[in-house]
This record gives sequence, C-alpha cells and structure tokens, in this order.
Amino acid sequence: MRVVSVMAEAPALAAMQGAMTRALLAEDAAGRAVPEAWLQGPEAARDGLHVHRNTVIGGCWNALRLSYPSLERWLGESTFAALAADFARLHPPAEPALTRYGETFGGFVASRLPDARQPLVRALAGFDWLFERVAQSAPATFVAGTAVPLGEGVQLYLAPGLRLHASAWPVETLRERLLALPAAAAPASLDIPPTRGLRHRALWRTAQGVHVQPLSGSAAALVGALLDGAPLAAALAAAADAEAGPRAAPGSAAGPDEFAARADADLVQVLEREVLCAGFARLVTVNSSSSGEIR
Amino acid sequence: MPRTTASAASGPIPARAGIGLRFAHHALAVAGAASADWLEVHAENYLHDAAARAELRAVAARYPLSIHAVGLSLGSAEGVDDAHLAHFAALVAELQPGLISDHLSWSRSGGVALPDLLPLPYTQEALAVVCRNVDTVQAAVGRPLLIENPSTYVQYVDSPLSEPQFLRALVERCGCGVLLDVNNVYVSACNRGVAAAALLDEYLAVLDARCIGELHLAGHAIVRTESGRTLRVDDHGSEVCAEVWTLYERCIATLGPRPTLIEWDTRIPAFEVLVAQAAQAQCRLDGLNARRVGHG
Repeated sequence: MRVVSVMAEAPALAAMQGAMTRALLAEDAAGRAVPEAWLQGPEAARDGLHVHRNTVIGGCWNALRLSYPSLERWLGESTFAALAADFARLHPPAEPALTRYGETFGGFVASRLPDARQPLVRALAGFDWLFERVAQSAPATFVAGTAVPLGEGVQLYLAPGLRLHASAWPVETLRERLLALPAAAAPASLDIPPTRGLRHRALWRTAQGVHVQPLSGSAAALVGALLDGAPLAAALAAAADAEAGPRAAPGSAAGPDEFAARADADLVQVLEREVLCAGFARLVTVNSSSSGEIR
Repeated sequence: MPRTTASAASGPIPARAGIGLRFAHHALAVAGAASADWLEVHAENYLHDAAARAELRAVAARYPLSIHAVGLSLGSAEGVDDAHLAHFAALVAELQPGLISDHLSWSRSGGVALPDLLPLPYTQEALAVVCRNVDTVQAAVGRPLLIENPSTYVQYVDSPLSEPQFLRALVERCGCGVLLDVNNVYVSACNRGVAAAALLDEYLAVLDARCIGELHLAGHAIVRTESGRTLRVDDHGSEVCAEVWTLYERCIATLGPRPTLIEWDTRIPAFEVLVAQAAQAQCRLDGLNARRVGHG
C-alpha cells in the first residue's frame, strides 16, 4: 500500500472512518493510500492495514464459501478465493451478521466466466444459496407454517421455511457429487448439458437436516401458489396452468363448482402423491373439542 | 458443568474458566455433553439463523451463557445500526445471558459493515462517539455492556489518551464494564514495541478492578510482513502462549478470580483441546483461591 506523504489535519472521526473503509476495500495501491499524518510510521501503517485488509477480505470469503460450498469445489479454492475477494471489494457487506451476505455472488461469478458456463454456474450457485438458507431456517414445526383450509375441518400445513427451486440442471446431484470430493481436489469438470425442461424441487428443514424432494411442474405451481398465500382453488388453477396452459385468471376466486371442474383426476393425484404425502406437509384435523391432530 | 434442568435464563457467569462455543461443537453443547462451566457465543451467528438460534436456546437451558457481539461497531461516528441493535437486543431479551459484551472498535461506515474490529484514535471526539453508542446499546438492552480492549496493528498520530485512560473514562461516563482480553494486551504491546507487563500494569492501575467483569485468553499468530517486520495477529487459532499465561497470572493476582474465556476461532480443534486450555486457566484460578483461603 502506498502511504501518501502529505500533511493532513487530524480528520474528524467520520471522515477518517470513511477514508479507512475505502482504503481497506481498494484494489490498487493508489486507492489504498491513507494519509501518513493519521498513522504512525509509514511502513508500520502499511503493514498494520494489510492485517486489517486480510481480515476484512478473509471474513467475506469465509462467509461466501459457507453459502456456496459446491461452487467453491467446482471452481477450485484459489479461483473461488480470488473471485470472493473481488466481490468483497465491490460489494462489501452492508450488515454485521454475515449469514445473509452474498446473495448476488453467483451472478457475479457467472459474469466472470465464459458465456457457455454462465447458466450452469448461476443454477449451481442459486441452489447452493437456497440450500444454505433453508439450512438456517428453524426445523419444521408445522403448526407455525403456512396453513391451507381443505374443508371439513381439515387443514394442510406446509413446513415453515419450505422453499422451491427450479433449474434446467440436476443441481442437487451435482452438489452432492462436488461436496463428496476431497476439499483439496482439483477444480471439477462439470460441463454437462441441461436437461429438457425445468426440474423442480422442494427444500425444507427438519431436525435431521435439509430435505430435497423433486416435484412435478404442476405440484411446484400448486405449492408455490400456496406459499404465496393463494387460496386452494387458485393454487389448483395455477397447477392446472402449469400442467396444460392457462385455464383461468390467476388468483380468481373460484366457487365450489368451478373448483371441482378444475380439480381433474390428474391434479388430485398430484395433490395426493406429491403434496399431501410429502415430508413438507401435514394434514391436521381440527374439531370443536381439540386444537388439532396431526395425521 | 452443564445444568440438568432447563431454565429460561442462562444465569450468572461464574468466576471460572469458560469456553467459546462455535458451530463445530454445537451438537455437544446442545446435548449437554460439553465439559464447560460456562459458554460464550458470538451474537452475530444467531441473529438471522433460526436453526442455530433454536440450538442456542437448548444450550442456554443447560449452560451459563455469555453473548459476545462483534458487530455493534461502538466506535462508529455514524452511530449504531438500528436494525442490528434491534436484533441483538431481541437475542439478549430472549436468552438473558449472564454477560454481554462487544469491542472498543469500529467496523461500520457509509453503509458498509466491515467484518473486522478496527481501532479508534483515543481522542475526546472518539470518546464522545463511543459513549453515545454505548448509551444507545445499553438503553436498548436495559443492562450494562462489557467493552473489550482490541488487538491493535496501527497507531494513530493523534491519540492523546492511552487505551486504559479511554476505557476508564468510558466506564465512568456510561456505567459499562470492561472485558480485559489478556492476549490482546500482549499482541498490542508487542506490535507497539512496548513491554506487555508494563501495559497490563497500566490497565490494572488505571481501571477500577470492580469494572473488569471478564477476561479473555486466546492464541495468536506471528507473521512476517513484506517490509520485514514481525507482527502478532490475534487470529484465535492456537493455544494460549506462555507469555500470555504469565500475564494472566499477574492479572488475576491483582483482580482476583474473574470469568475467564478460552477463545478459538480458526482451525478449530477438538473440543477436548479447548477443555484442556480451560483447565489450565481453571488451575490458575483454583491456585489463586487456595492462596487466598490460606492467607485468610
């Protein structure tokens, strides 16, 4: 780091902290310059600020590798570290708790890679990010989750923290394979083609960890609509749209007859097989004498 | 040792050796199988991670718990981040830890939250800023903070107060306490080229012993800089060195027993290694107590 040899007045604290922040995040020597008059000894100041710079960049890097573990395995540790350092300088944390830091890192990495690799990087990074956010959610306590009245005293509860993911790549399998590699393994080659169409997954957390379940497009549409707060009839309409194209305006309030018309046999099967029987869902019978029974 | 019955509040921190709890050892602590008299966690790891927070509730029901913040940025001229403070206050209100603390440092400026503990110039302006921020935090949590002396790697030209003088003034104005990190005293002294024992003695002479509510111990790294200088870096990645143990003995001989934490944050070893480090601290505390009884 270059130390500017100009006499500076003792800066007001706010100005000094702003200048120090910029100097710690700067990439080039000129940007790292801090007026000599602020700190004792040019070499001592440079060495000391180097320690702080390493701590700042290292803290960001560590947070990013926790959120993007499979991306790090794929890129290799050194490439990931270099990209993380660049990202930290350009997009430093805005909040002290780093658990939510770096949501845009996947797009940043993709933008630094050849075009052909960008979609897969985005997909893998997106799945990493979502998986780690679900891992940070509370273990499922269903009565705290989204509740959907099914009629006749029955409610469908979706696990709190339930999230949906869709991509054209088998990112769940890729992640498992990458994380099974030794940490020091050479960058993995994963130049694989996308599958035909989107692959949907539900992710939720229990005390045992994060669970991932494949979903059909219609089941994903159904669950997605329910998570967005749509009533069951509208969610079924969304599922029907995903299955066979639009049938009705999304979110329209459907009466019992219309509901029955939409809930064709295929959709009922989807609902039963992929949603009602899924680990992320619970049916609760509510009667007048008790608060509920989880089946 | 862990309690066998759950309670809503973690209870007071005993004047014994405790261990910094990190995620690698969560399962042990949740199960009550971590051999420790008390535990300390970093607040920021539990503010937005509901899963970790749920585990921490279980830990707090079994062990006396101290919550150590690293991101309040008490030295920031632009003040404390309201949202972060609200999350911190909620954590404190929920877990009722025996002690709460953060550092005499800054990390926030212009909307950026640097993951580091940056040093302050010890000026009247900085003192006013820190007092204002400590008052804000203490008002939010409804109890006093302990303020930890930082490890320093640079020195400001305009810093007319010594660090102990600055902390003393802070304590007098805000009613907060001090968390004296013995390793930080050693690291800062070495990096400044002064005798660590002399710096520690200045702390012990300037500060009222009653305000020092906790001690920290940790390992540090020795690095060679590009300019050929040797710097000690407070990386919490190794055992407490012999020189710091000696300072610790000097410290408790003056202060009397204090809750003493073993911190280890990088290259985290097996929990047994931390237990062994805590046992070394406890041995010194026990020796101190035995001498006091003998003299009594």
